[in-house]
Amino acid sequence: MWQPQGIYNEFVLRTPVLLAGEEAVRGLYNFPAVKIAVIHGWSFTEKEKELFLNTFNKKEVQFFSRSWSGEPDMQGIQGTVHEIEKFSPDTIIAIGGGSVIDGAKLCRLFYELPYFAPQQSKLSNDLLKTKFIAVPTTIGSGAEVSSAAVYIEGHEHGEHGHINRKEMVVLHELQPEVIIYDERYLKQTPHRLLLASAMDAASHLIEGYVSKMKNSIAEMKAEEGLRLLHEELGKFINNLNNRAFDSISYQRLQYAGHLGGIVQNHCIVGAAHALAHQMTDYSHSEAISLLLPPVIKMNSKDEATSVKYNVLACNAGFKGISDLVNFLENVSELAITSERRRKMKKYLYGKLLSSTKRSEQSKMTKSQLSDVQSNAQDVNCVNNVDNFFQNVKLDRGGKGNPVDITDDYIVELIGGL
Amino acid sequence: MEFLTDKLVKEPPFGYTQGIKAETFYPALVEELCFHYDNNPLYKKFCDNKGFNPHNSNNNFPSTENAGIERLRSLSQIPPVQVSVFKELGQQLNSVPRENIKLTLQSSATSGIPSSVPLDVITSKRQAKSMVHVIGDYIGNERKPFLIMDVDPASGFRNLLGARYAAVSGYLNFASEAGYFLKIDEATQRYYFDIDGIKDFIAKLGEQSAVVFGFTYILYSEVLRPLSEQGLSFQLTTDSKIIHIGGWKKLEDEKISKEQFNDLASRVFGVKSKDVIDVYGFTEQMGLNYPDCPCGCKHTPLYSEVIVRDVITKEPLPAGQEGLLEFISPVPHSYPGNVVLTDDIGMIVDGDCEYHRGGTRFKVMGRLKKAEIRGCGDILSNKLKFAETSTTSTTTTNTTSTTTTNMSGSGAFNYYYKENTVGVSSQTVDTSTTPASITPEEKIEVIAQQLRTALTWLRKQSVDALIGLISKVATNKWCDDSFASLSISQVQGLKFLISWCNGEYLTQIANEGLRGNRHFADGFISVDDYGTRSMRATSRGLVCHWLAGNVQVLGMFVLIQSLLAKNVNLLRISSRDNGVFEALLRAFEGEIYTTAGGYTVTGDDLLKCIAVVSFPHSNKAAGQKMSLLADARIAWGGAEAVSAVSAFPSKYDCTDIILGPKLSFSVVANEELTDERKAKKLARKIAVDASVFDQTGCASSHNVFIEKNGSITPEQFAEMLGEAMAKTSIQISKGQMTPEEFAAIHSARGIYDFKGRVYGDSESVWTVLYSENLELNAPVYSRVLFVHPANSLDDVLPFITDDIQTIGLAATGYTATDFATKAAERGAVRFPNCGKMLNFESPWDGLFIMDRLVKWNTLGGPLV
Repeated sequence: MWQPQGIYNEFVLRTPVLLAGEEAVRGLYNFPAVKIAVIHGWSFTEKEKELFLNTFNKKEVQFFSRSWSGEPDMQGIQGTVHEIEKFSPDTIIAIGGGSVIDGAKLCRLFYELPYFAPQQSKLSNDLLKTKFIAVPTTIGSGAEVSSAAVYIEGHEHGEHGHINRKEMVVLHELQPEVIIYDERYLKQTPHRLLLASAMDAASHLIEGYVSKMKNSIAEMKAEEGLRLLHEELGKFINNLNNRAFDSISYQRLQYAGHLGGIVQNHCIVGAAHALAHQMTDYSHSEAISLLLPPVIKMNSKDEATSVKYNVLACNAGFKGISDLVNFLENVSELAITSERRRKMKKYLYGKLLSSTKRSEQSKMTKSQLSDVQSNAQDVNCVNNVDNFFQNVKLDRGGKGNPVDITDDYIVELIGGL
Repeated sequence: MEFLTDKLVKEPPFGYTQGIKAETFYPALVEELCFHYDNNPLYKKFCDNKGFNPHNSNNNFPSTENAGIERLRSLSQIPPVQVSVFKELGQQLNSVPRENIKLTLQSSATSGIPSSVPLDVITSKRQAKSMVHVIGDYIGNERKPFLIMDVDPASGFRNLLGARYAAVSGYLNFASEAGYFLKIDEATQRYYFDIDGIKDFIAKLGEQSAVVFGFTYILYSEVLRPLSEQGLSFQLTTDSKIIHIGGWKKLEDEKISKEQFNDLASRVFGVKSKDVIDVYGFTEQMGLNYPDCPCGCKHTPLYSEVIVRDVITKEPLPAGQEGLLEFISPVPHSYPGNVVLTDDIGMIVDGDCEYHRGGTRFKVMGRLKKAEIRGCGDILSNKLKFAETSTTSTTTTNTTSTTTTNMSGSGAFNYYYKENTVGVSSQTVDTSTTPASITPEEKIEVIAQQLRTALTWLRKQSVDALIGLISKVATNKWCDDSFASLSISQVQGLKFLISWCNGEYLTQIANEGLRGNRHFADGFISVDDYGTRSMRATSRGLVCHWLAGNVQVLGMFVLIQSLLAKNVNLLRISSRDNGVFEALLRAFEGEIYTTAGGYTVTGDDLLKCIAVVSFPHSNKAAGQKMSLLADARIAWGGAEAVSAVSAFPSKYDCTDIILGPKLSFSVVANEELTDERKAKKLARKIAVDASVFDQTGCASSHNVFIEKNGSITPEQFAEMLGEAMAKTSIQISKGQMTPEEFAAIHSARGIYDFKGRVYGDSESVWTVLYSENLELNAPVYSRVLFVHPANSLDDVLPFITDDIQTIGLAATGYTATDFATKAAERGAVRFPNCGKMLNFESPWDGLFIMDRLVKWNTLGGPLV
């Protein structure tokens, strides 16, 4: 797929065809396909199946429940790839959350290019011929517009045992041709999960905005996306009751998520993602919800970054950077239970303690060290240690952080949680 | 003015000592060399290119009798002129004013293009004197009746005599009377032997001894063989002689030895076998004749000397070692033919002649064969405008061929395929020993049936799984030097084939070959914006391939595409393949490829879709059988080979893909030569195009046209190309060369020493030849590049015809599109970047191969 010479300019890639509205999938009635494979999550209902069958009543359709659980891994997707190979579709529709869409992207990739090596960062000319359609049932992941497919890869670390790490295949060819935003799916989503997903969307918009990879066009999309989130979630934050929640426009939230996906895809995100990607035992959106506000605070210590945050906040309808952080902390508070928050913190403290050299521990304040030590004893993570610092620093998803992610940065960030 | 040579040729030919020769021959030689150097600008350029000045050489020649080795060394220091120079430049080689040229001799052109030798009176006289002395020494100086086994020049058929006329005329100096006994049947225009005429002539001879004279091959084929077959013979007087000239090349082809010839000749004419005299000579030193001495050798007379050079290194060889014969003589005066390196193989023989003839003794073993045409350049078409008189190495010879009517042919029929049962069947059936068992045609039919049963399996495989398997075998097995003794570096083009078989690249090829989507081969795919009409590509069935002998792996490029289009394949490979193709296929044995989804495709199953056979060209029945069974025919090779395949009968709806014969070259616009760095980079790329496959591919570059007026001149670029060729030769190792290929390179270099500049290494791995002439040179192969300046790119257009396949184009923007458009309209098909000419792409040779190997099906619609 052609992409502009990024070193010369800022650009936005080809945007897929967007279909929005209730039962928007019906718009695919005349889609030029012969054999359609629908890859779906486990909550896909018979009613939904009916909708697809009606829509594609003149085509050959088969449904495949994803063979992986949680986020995809190479072993896990094999079952679905096998089914897809047998069916040999010319069109694949992925319906579900980010992990379903990412898994379906990988299924399509390995179905078409069985020899593909995940480390490959480039494909020669227009190799993928199976059409791909994404129907996201959540917001925030941005998987439907992303060129990346995140997967879990297990690593053996000698005496430290088996470690799971998030890896990703990044190819623009993975982007779908059509995205269908049907707000019905969001309405079924639990409020807490929806808020966490919104935090993920916010992180894409905010981290992308201040990313080292400057892209003025993406910045405008980020401002618009954050404004939508602010306006819609603000209805609930300012008036915490279910009726207020019902007044939220799910379609606007979906669009905010869509814009977040575009921003993330063009401007590499930052430290919140670098850390969240190491927390494979926790949901990505929860981890982001925990980490985004403190990351903004950390990065704001850099004056230029602080100015940029402030511009974004003001253009998105906030009074300034503090107002933005307060808003995010409020959403975060509602998105994660205190129990989950405590566990995630313990997890990070444990990683920090076991990975931190004595010399680095000495840089901590007494109270930080005491917190970290007491928490670490609780989570007993000493036997499950990888090179945490290294992984955070090398994480491909965090490369856009406006401030260099150093050991000190990580220590201070986690110590301040 | 009398030259030293004019005195020399008055002396008797053989009664000399080395001391006399040192005093007479060498000064005469130096005098002539100096004369040419001073009067012939082309020869001076040649000498200067070689760093030789004859004015400085006089003192180098030994003057004593015991200086054999020294003599050899000093003579070998004179740069020899290749015989090819007389073919290419003969007309321009006069060292005397043009008005002094009385006659231009032309050779009989048994090896293609004739040599031209301009003669003045001085040279003619010397030739005549030398000839009279030498031949007289063998047959006596008194004139004798000559029985000439050729056509009477006065008979009205002199045109049939051609160059033989001059030679016959030379010998008439020895004739008291002459009878010509080869006649022409006016109706058929064919020779016949005048038996009655010769009988009458012999009857009238009485006791006179006579000389039978003829050209070796004609004497044999038109006289000796037919008379012997009819049981006819004559009896000449005992001291009669048979003299024959013209060389053994054609008789060697018919496996007739000199002994057999002499025996037959002596029986037919009743002369002693020792009186059958083969006279060696060549046009470039006409008049210097070397008859067979009864001692078994030939002798150099006082007027000439011989040395033998190594075919490859060109270093002089001692007595007893075979090499190229080089003759040195002061006789040629009107042209610089004094030191001539021939194409003939011979050796110097030590020891004295029992018949007391003096002079260096030597033997002629035969002519170095022309380098076998290994590439796609054997174009019979007259559309290509090669440089008018071209190098000899690749020109088609007019050899006489015997038409075989033996439809079952002869020779071994080999095949390799995996039977649809168990195990691999690889056998050789020698039809000459097992004629009653199964004929090659029958076996081909059986194989084809087996292949067709595998078609069902193949059609069920996904293109992507097949790509995975092929890619895996290429990467893991073909790359492995230890596999089946198949060394990557030794098999031409294998390295490139391996990289071409990369999964992604094959996917791209398949997409491009099947109208943008390889999955058309897997099933119906929607082709409109409404989803109402879909299309699929179904394989044609059995594809029969006739591969060329030049680069076997080229055939693999098309075989793989045919497999990806899901066809079963029967391939006839060349006997020159040396097992390479089979080894490449055997790599699939036992190989298993599993897709990401767990689907398994095995190499053994894929092998059931491929069969390889080899049989001689003469086995037309086998070729016809293959052709009739084919749903698609693919023919590679030269004009003759592809024409033969085209002529076979085939199914009415069989599709044909003819790949070759084609030629390719490179064109460089001056805008690409703006600075040295850019030019050097470009030179490296062109060097790659001339090194991959050692120029045997249809897309290999042989000529480079450089547009003038760049910052780098064409000549400077030629020099850069030389450096680039040297560097590339390290990265892309060269295949083994035959002596004939070395000779072809030396021959081309020899010509360019006269007409331009030669850049090349001492081992003849690479050669860049530069001249100011704008011409298209016939390929020499073996990494020989001709570089020519052009005033504009449009000047190159006249060289482009349908026979030009690829033009490596170094140009951009309008210059590129304008040239490519004009060149395409003249017939060229590919204009890749330099350095990528050999990268097998789709379309190839103007067509999408996979597209041709499928039938397109539609489902639903059409909307209109």
